[in-house]
Amino acid sequence: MKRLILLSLSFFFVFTSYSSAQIVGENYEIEQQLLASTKQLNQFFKRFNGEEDVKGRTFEPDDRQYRNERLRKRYLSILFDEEDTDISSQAKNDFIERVTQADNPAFLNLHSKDWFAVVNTTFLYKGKELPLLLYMKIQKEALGYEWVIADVAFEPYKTMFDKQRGETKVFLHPMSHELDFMNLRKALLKGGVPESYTLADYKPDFLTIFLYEVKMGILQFQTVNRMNYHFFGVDGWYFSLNNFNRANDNSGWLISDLLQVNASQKEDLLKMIYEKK
Amino acid sequence: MNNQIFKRLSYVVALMAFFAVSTQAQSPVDPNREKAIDSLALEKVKDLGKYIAIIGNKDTPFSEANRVMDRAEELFAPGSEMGVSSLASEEIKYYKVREYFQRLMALNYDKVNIEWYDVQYISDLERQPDGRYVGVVTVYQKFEGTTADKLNYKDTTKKDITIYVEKKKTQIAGRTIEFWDVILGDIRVSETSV
Amino acid sequence: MKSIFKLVPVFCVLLFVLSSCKSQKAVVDANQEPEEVIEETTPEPTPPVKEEPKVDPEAANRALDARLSNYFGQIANASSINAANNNIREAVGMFSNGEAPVLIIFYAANGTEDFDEPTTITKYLNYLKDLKKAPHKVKEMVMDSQGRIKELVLVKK
Repeated sequence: MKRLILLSLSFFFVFTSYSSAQIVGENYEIEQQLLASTKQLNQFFKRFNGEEDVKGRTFEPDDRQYRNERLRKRYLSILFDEEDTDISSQAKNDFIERVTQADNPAFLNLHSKDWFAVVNTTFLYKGKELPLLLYMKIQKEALGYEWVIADVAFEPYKTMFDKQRGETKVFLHPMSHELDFMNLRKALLKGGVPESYTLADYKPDFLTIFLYEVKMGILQFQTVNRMNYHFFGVDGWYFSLNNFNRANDNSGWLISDLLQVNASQKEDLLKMIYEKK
Repeated sequence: MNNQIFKRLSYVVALMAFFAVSTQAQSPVDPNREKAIDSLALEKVKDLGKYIAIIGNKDTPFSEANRVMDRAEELFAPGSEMGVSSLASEEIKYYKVREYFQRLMALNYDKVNIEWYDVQYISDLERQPDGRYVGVVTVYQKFEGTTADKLNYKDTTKKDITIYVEKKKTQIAGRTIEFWDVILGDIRVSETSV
Repeated sequence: MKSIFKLVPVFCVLLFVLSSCKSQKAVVDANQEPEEVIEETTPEPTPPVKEEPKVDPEAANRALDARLSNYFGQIANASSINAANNNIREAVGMFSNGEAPVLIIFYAANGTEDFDEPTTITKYLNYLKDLKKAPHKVKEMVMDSQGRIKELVLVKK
């Protein structure tokens, strides 16, 4: 049965003249749900900015409706997850007021530096399937834009380079130079703690290790599981987006977290998202 | 607002520069052309659907199915893949386009009913580093398949289809024809809860 | 698909520069930038000699146009693959050969025409057969010296 399901899942797009039809009538409700759903990030941006009509058709900038404040307020109110959230209606209203402020409205832009994606993936690592987070950003390159990997979070890396400090740590004694550093032989052993012999402020670069291990085939990409998006583009606010796959109007890409943050809270939040200490 | 004006101004300047060097210029700010390109992209998506119906239809002779597979494959950029996930597993399974077609041909449903919802979403076209434009068309489809032993399977899937748009030139009978090359790329297929 | 249009002038200027300035092109190629934009899909063996006058379907070749349009409809609505294939064979007979280029205009405004990717008459007629539709009408036919169509321009109905 599982095989059957898999087979038919991949069986898409069969529109035959005799067996296919555009759905009408009894499926009206489902179509209304799909129409209401925020189907792409692109649509989230357009709704947030008030740049398309209810059918998803883009307004031209000279259209009266384009970025219209009332339209934006209406759209913004439906861009929040309403089921699994603890966003207060006060925070929601404050946020909507902020981004639609007549003299200083806030808009979202795909090319902005103030947002990023966290992609939850699975990699094969030393014979085991393990989760790995990729932090993705969009950047300008040559004639257009591209998504790039800005950072990674991977459990095995987190403690691998934790160096011991203080009296009990191993070290290269301060007269090693007189022996032409012959004691390095005992320090740099496989399975040892070579990080002990680094500067006090040594910080590993996980992205470089990740790239190296992918190149060497030590880490093998398996699949993407899910992702979310984090936005810091609205001054004083943070929000994140998640995809909600459910059978009602409140589905698709919706705001699942909303916080008012000052500069230091923003730093803390970023550290938390990037899983940095 | 100033930014908006500046954008427009710089655009006008660029446009003037363009007219200065080329007489074959066409008005870029033509929302109708934009819509025509959208329609062309959607048309290709629907064409793919029909090709796949022929490939999947048990009555299609083998040679015809193979010819149609070639035509369907021509709609895609080389190396395009399908990434499929279900409600039961969020993990994406990957299939090459040709591999997908071949699996489709081997499928053994006795009766297949496919309906597609009158809801589609077409993203902006974004320019990529190599100068080509890329967009995503989202469509929804309801699938119902019955096997010979009366096993029934139903699902509704969301398809996010990559579209590449590129202006190209070709020589036809000694003259240069400029055309819009609209081809499909990777397709993400995810089962929905509706 | 709005953002494309802000960039179109720049893109076109770039195209112009690419096609007219060798040294520039070399620089761009070295950076592995845009893919080759010039594609030779239908190389014509003979150099462009004097072109035959383009025949206006409104005038003398109205009948030819009607015959061709009739084939389009018959192929799209054929009752069987065999019937469609027979119609395709007959229709191709109206052309210089099966590889005769077919241009499809999908948008026209202000005196300019936007084309879909050029195809050949054989591929086009098979397209009608496979997709069971005839969405285009004849806009222009270029004839060879034998009175066969050597180039066809279509437009959306």
